[in-house]
Amino acid sequence: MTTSGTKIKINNLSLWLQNQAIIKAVTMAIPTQQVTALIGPSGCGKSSLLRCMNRMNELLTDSRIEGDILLDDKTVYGKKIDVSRLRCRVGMVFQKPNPFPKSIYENVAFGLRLQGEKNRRVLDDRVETSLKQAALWGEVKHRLHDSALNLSSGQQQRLVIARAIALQPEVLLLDEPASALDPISTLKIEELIYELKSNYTIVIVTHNMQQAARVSDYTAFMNAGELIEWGETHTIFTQPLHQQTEDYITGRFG
Amino acid sequence: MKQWWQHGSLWVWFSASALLCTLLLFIALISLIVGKGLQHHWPADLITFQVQTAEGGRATVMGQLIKQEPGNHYTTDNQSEIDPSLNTAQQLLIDQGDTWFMPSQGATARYIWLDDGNVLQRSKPADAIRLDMHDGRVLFGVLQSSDAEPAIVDTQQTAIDLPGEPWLLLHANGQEIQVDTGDVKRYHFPNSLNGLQKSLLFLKQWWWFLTEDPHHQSTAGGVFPAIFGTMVMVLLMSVIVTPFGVLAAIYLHEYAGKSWLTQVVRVSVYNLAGIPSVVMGLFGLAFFVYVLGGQLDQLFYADQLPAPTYGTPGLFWASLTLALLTLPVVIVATEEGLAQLPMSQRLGSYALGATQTETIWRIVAPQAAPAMMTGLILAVARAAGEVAPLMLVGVVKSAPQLPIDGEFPYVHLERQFMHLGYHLYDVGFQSANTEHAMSLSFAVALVLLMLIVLLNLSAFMLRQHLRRKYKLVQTSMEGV
Amino acid sequence: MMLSSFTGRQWIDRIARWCVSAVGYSVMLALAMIFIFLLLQVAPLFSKASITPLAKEDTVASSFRLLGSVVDDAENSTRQAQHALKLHRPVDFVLSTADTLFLLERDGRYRWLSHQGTDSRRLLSSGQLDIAEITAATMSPTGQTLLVASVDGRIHPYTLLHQELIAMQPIATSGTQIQQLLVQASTRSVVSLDDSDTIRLFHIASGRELAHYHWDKHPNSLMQLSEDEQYLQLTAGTMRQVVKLHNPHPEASWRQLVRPVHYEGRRSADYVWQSSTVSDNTEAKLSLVPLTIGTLKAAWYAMLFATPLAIFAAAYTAFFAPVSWRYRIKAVMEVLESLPTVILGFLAAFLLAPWLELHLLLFLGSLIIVPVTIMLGSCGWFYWRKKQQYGTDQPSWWLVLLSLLTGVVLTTMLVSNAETYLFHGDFLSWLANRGIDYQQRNSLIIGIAMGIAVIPTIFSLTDEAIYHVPTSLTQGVIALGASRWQALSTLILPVAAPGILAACLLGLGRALGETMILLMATGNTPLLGFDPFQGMRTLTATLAIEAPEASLESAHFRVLVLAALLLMILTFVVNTLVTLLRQRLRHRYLQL
Ligand SMILES: Nc1ncnc2c1ncn2[C@@H]1O[C@H](COP(=O)(O)OP(=O)(O)O)[C@@H](O)[C@H]1O
Ligand SMILES: [Mg+2]
Repeated sequence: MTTSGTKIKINNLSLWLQNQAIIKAVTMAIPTQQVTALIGPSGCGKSSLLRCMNRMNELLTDSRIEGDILLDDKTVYGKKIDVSRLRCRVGMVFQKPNPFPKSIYENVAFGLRLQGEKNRRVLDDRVETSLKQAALWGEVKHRLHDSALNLSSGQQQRLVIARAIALQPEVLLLDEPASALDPISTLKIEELIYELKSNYTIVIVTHNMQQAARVSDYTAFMNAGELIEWGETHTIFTQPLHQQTEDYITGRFG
Repeated sequence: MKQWWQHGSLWVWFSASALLCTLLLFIALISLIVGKGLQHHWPADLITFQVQTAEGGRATVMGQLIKQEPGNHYTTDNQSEIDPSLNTAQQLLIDQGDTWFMPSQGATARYIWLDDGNVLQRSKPADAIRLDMHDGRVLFGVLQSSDAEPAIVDTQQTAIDLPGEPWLLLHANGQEIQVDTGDVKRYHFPNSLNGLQKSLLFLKQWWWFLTEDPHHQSTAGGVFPAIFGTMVMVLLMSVIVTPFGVLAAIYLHEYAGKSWLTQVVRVSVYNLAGIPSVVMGLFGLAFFVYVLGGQLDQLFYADQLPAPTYGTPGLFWASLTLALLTLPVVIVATEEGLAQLPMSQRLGSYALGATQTETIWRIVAPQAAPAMMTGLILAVARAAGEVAPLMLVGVVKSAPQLPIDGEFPYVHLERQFMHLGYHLYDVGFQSANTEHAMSLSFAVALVLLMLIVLLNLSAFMLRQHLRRKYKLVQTSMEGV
Repeated sequence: MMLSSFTGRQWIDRIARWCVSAVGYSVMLALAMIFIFLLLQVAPLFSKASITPLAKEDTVASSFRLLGSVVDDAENSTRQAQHALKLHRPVDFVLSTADTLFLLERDGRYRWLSHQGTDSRRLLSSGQLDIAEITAATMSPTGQTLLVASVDGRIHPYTLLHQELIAMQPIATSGTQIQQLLVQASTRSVVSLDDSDTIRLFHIASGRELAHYHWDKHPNSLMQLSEDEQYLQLTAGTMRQVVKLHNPHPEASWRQLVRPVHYEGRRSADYVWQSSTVSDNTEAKLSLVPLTIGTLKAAWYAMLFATPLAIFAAAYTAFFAPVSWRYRIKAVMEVLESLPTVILGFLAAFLLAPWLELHLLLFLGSLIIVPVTIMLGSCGWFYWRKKQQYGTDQPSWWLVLLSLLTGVVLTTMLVSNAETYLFHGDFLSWLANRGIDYQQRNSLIIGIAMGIAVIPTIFSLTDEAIYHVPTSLTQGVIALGASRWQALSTLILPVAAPGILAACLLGLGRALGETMILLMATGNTPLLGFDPFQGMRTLTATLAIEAPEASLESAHFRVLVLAALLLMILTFVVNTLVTLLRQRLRHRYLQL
């Protein structure tokens, strides 16, 4: 492993939703300021694993967890953990863009306002940098106070990313961020991920093998709730240890 | 024949005519109320009829022609037998103004039937005047000056200064009656008004009707206290029902889990919407008025006992009862709105570190607000039209004082009040007696109808708007 | 950055959660409380009467006054009375009220006199009671009820109606011979003292034993009522015992509420609702049967009118009419649904009722003639279209309207002739001659007015149920060559049946709970039977009229609350059924 240490450590994590085992004893590490891709057939639990990292699973009814997740070597599943702070540090973007029916500006400033930030200058600054980072600034700078619902879905997705990075998180969780978008928008998102890598630790779920190969440094392959293998993307794609992995990567999977 | 039967064309025709029947019924209903209700304030012409009496003499009758129909109506002077020869003749119903002393004829009914065959001549004297008296009577006649010369009055105006001295009024049947100017509230010359003037007067009459107090057992005057009472009651009810209904819905949808028990509770709450309103009224009477009110009186108004203050039907209890009655309406509508809001909106907010309260307050509630509004409007519409429970908990035929006035503490929650629906019930039962009360009832019904239809239409539009809006934001749960 | 700090935002979140949950719980509780409170109000109605002995000290302390002067024994009193009344020969039982005198012999012979003072007497009637041997007798202070105990231990109540004695249902007791009878007038009950020294309390009209008390071993005892009728003094020689009669609601029991009862002043047992007691002399008669029948009758006629119209109209709207129509029609129905019922009640009572009285035959005639014209129209149209080789699925609405109007015009023409030739010019008097009484405010009026109130409810739900049947189903059948109606009747309607049933039930629920229309347009006479030309009195209207006048603790008020509970449970069950049916329907549609 390269430059620095581990940002998130997943220790023997299992998840049950409505008494069904969704994730079974997963152990892995997410390296700092790298892009980690989660791949696997749909329904294998990628999104669920992702949601475990910022405790979004708790919002579902009847979820139970065993094992632990450490963020900077500190557990995120402690009793006295402030979940809000955790989610500020570990941002998340969903498959379909979900902008709030507010203005573009208010969407990006939403998280900051929650933090109690009222200073107009700070807000303006942060909105601008976030939108710039999300490569959206040029397109929307003249209509910051238009409704976010009027943007195209590719723009909406970048807006949602801007919304997440406005909080200056340490980790970004991207759940199939490009699967609902057209190829050009997809390309923009991928470029964006590449840009963001220098500042953030990124975990991305994707169905698209090329995308995984293009954007990620590390790859983890999951199947039926189990982590089959994980390691550097290059290794996984060229010399997978398991037959299953190879089958999936080459598209021979069921 | 067999082919026709098998094809089912008959049933299609039946269902089409069932729909047409229902719609026609509806249109008839609404146009009846609107037509008759509007007619009540239309300044109709005053017509003088020269009539042949049974003895062969002549008489004059002056009044407004209410309706004209064929048939076997009894004439006023021949109550016992129907003359078969008259059966085909047109009968005219005349409103000749209020009962006014007519020594020669005894008390004359305000409404009389005339046989069209007996009418020798009709005329519309331009100087025929209609007087609305302070005591609620309506008088028709022709103005005469005090020295028996024809009065010179500017008939184009309706608001001239009345002469300072007593008037002389010549009734159409030849009776001269003295009227004290002080007793006259309003007057106009209907026959000399043109269409525009009539319309203006018509609007004015409506304005008076909506803003004045009723008198003479509600047979005269306006309906202001009833409208005011309805509004205040409904407003108070909204103030009570909105927070409780909305919070209960938020609790049910956002906080309570999806367990078996909450499901049962939810269905029960929904079913409470179907409880007969009069049952709720009885509960209000027994619990709010007798139990709660009785307790309040003993605690705070002991010095006034045994005269009850809150231990008797009143505005507050009525509002509370209706709040309870409409609670399910608000809960159901709000929950529907909450359920329509996609989950992804909530998750997006959580992912930015919002707590549940912040999510509800900043994301969920603003988007569900139109649904809450809809619920509230529906509740208000229901409450405004509900009469039966109010009969038990506080409405009266005529309240001497408004529930809000300039007297400390300004809002009198314990007072009884008037209500449009109950007013209609009350006036309606008098309408068995006179055409006038009947027409008045229609005017009251029209006001009530307008109120309800407006409220409901706005709720309907709001709901449509809401549906269209959600189609825009709608993102599926998949991929969240 | 520390994760484990507990911030203010977290606290606000918690507090808000508590508050909202508290409001949520309290709302649910308040709604549950309605039911519980009403139950608690009804419960005392069925609490048992009791006779409890008072301790000696209490007896001395209590300053109740006995009714009448204290006399030593029964025989003495009779003798005194005979003396005072100057009777010529001894009579076994002398029963007197304010202005009548009832003289009764042990063998059942009686004379009934009116008397003013002691001198002017007039014989009202005389006769023989059908009882072998009388052991005790008494009369209610109002003189309306005579109670006689026979040797076999039974009590025979008689009610005095127009100088005639009418036997009521005998009250069966333990069988021991009865020594003395006393009437507790305020509760219409009778106290009996028998040979085994047991005091029994009966409600006269229903014959129900309310309570009993055994006084140990004091033969030849005598009872006296206190002036307020709350206490009873027993004397035997020098022994004295006072008992308290607790008899809260004798006039209401399940039997009285749902069975025929023979009340005093009536010829026979009957279901009677007559709650307003004009004076203390009349007893509240609280049979729920006529009111329940009234409610059911009103609902029945409303449903009879509304169901076919609403279901047919909804079927047309959902299945035949263009979608753009559908929204408009639904908007109209929404407005119609919210029409205040007081307006409908007013129109029904003061416009429709007088109109229908004049045009009854027209209305009845159109029920037959209009469908016939539509049938003819349909048939003619079908073959014409066939001949022209046009589609035969859907008639244009103006053709239907035309045949509808033709039907109405035809009826008007036919009816005026029929009335003159068949019914001698007046249908109502023709009916009256055949013993059919036409009341102006009757079930037909209710059927129409409440039908209009119920139509939108049934319409909306039926329309939803039919409209949401998956279109693939319809297309499948039509592809097989069925006409649209055939598709509807063979496939869509059976699939949507639970929804339509739910619609009807919801309409029924609304009809059962409707008040204002019934209050204004029924005439409010509590009648039995389902005659369409008669009015009725319903539970809801009774609640609206009588509840404000009934006093809180009275049996009348409690019975009204019981009626309310009954209505509440009825509608709750109906609505729950509706919910279940609709859930089932949704399930079914998801599977298709
Ligand atoms: N809320 C839920 N309740 C129960 N099971 C769920 C829920 N969400 C997802 N699942 C199940 O968990 C499994 C994993 O889902 P998910 O993590 O979304 O898969 P992926 O993202 O890899 O396609 C699936 O089999 C799905 O059916
Ligand atoms: Mg997924």
